[in-house]
Amino acid sequence: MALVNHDTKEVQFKIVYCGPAFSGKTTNLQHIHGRIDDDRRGDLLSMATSTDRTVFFDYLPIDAVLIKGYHTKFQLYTVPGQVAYNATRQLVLRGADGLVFVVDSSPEKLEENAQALRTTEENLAQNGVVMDELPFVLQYNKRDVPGAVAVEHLNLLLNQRPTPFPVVEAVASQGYNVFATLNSVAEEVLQRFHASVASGGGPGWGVRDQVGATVG
Amino acid sequence: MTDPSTVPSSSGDYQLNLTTESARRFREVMRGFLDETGCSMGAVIERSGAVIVSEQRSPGNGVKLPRADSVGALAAGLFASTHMLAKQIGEQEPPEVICHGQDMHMFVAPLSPEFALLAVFPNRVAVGLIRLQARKVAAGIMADLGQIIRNVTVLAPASGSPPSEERENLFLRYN
Repeated sequence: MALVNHDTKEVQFKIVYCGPAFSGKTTNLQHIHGRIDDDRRGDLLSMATSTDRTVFFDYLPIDAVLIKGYHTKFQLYTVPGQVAYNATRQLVLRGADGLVFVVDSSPEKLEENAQALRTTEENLAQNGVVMDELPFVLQYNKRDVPGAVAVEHLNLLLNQRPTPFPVVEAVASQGYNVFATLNSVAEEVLQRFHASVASGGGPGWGVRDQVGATVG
Repeated sequence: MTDPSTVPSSSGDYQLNLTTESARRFREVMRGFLDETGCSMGAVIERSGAVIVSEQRSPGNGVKLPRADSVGALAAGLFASTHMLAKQIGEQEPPEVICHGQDMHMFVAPLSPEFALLAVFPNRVAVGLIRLQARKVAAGIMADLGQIIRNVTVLAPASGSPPSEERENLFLRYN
C-alpha cells in the first residue's frame, strides 16, 4: 500500500521482513539502522521479550532516493518468527508493498524455513494478497554457518515458483548483503509502483498534481 | 464513530493518493482539532501504520514530541492487537483505545475500516472533549478519505520504470 502525498512530495512504502524464528530478521534491521545517517532514519522500535525475541514487530523508518522531486520513504517492519504469533504476523503484513523472507541456512532449520514460508503465504492470502504477485526477495542468511545448506538445495525447497523469487546470499550478523537485499526488494517495489501509476492513466513521478482527482 | 460504508474497504494491493488539496484540508481539520481540544498531537493513520496527516503542538514542560511515523506505526499496532483481543472474547472492534500515562495520554479511535484517529494529550484535556471533536474530524475528512484509495490492478511492471540511474543503489551510499 503505497502512500503518495502530493503536498509534501513524498511516497511511502512498507517492506516486511518475514522468516522463521532466529533467522536474522531483527539483525537485518539493526544493521540498516546502524549504517544510515541519523537524519535519514527514525529510531529502531522493537517490541520484544526480555530475551529480545520479537513479540509483535520491529519498526524502522528510513529515507531513500529522491526520484523526480518525490522523496521515497520506506517503513521497514519485521514480524515475529515463532509459530505461536500467527495472528500478529498477519496484522503486520497488512498493507505490505514488498517482502523479504529471511532464510536460516543451517541444515537443521530446513523444515522450519519451509513451514514459515507456507505460513507467510497463508497470512498474505488471508489479507487478499497473492505472494507470487508481490515484490518478494529470498535472503539466504547465515551463509557462514558450518554445513550451510547449498543454495541449489534451498532453491529446490523454497523457490519452486512460477517465477522464482530473487535470491540474495547474506550474513546479516556481519552486514554482508543486508543492503543488497534491501536494494533488491526496494527496486522491485519502485518498479511496480511506477508501472501501476503508468497503467492507471495517472501521472508519472511528480509530473502532475491531483492524482486522486483523476484516478479516484 | 461513522458509518464504515462511507469509505470503501480495500484489500490486496492498493495505493493512497493524497492530493495537495486534500492534504491541506486534512491539515486544516487537524489544526482545528488541536485548537478545540488542546491536544499535543493529532493524526489520521491508515490501519497498516501509514500516517495520512499529522499536526503537533508542543505540550510544554520540556516534553519532546515523537516522530509522527513512529507513533503512527505503533498506534496502528496497538489498535489492531486490541481489536484481535476483543474478538477473542466475543467483542466487536473497540470504539476507542485510551492509554493513560502520568502526564501524557493517548486516544485511538476508528474512523472507518481503513483509517483511525490518533490523539496525544496532556492531563488538562478531557477525553469527552476529544470524543466530541473526533466526530467533527470524521465528518470533515471522510469524503476525502474515500477518494484517496486507489485499487491497483497491475500485477507486474508493465512499461516504463524509474530511470535506472535513479533506482539503482537506493541505499548503497549509506552502506
